[in-house]
Amino acid sequence: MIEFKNVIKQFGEKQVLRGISFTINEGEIVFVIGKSGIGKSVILKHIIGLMRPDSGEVWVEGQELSHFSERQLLAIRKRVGMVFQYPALLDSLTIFDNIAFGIRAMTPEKAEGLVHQAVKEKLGLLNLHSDVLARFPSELSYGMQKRVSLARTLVLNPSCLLFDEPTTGLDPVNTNTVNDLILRLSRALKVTSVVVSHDMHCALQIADRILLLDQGVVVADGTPADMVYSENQLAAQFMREAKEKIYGNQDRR
Amino acid sequence: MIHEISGGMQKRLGIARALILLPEAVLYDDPTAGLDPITSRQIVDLISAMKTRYHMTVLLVTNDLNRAFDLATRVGFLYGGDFMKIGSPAELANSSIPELQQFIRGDIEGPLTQKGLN
Repeated sequence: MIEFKNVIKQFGEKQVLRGISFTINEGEIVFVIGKSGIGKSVILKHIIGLMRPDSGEVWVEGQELSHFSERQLLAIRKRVGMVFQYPALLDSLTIFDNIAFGIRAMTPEKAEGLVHQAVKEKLGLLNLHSDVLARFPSELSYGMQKRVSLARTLVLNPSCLLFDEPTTGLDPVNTNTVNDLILRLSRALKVTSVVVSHDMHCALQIADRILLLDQGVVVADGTPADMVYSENQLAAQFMREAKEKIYGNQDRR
Repeated sequence: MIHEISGGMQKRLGIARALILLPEAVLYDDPTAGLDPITSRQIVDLISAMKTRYHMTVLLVTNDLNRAFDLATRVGFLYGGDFMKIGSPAELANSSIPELQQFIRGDIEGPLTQKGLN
């Protein structure tokens, strides 16, 4: 379980999180939606301790993180995986070594055969063929790099996954592949997923709950159905866009 | 400085920089990727307004089908190193090419995924 209690975070003059509070339950898929630059990624960075709150509390799996040492945070980061907005692959390593990086660093005793098995298994989940393994990141398209970065996070079998815009820059087929994967991980393995996204359409398809952010706080918190009927103006604005995505193509036929 | 402004503002700045010499043609590489729907709409409107006002040719690369269908006179569907189909948005939407249909619907199963989609 993840819980924020009155978290405040300021950068220079700008207060990004203004006493934000919310709870995310085990196994839930929660989408965090809001306009660009509102602090959605900042929330994710607090959950794995890459940022600390100016005040307030961040609870992850029953522990309050804001005063954790780096060593204590490492234990959290083994169980909570983060997929960054940009692939951030290591250019000098092959795709195989990129995906295996975490598993080798965290479990050095693991036999190479098992590392191979784990890497190949995750590759298949993401529509990637094994012939990419020997290649380098610069030889792959952006969409492929993005899926490789997802495989790299999955390889440690985390109990909680944080996604920062997982489908940005992906074509419709791969967007659905990633959405389907998030759904399967949640349903089959009870993986908790926190997804930062602009895509209300994806949120309506797979989220258990949607948190809508504005002005540094949660302005709407509910199921996709709650969001569809929300009287919040921003929710309505995002919803119009999602409807257009769902019905738009049909209109043109 | 650049890092002090939002992603949407950075995109609009990028467009302003490309347009300042009033070119005859503008190339856009995924101009709405990573933007919230409200900002994304502003960018599309901006591209459209600039095109009309200055009679610019626009070549735009995107994964965003709705944007492509809103803006384009013609859409080209690129697959396997060549255009599989070029036509009006309506022609593409009504095409019976299985790969294109799968792409438009976003189906996980289909010819694109069997052959290996980039």
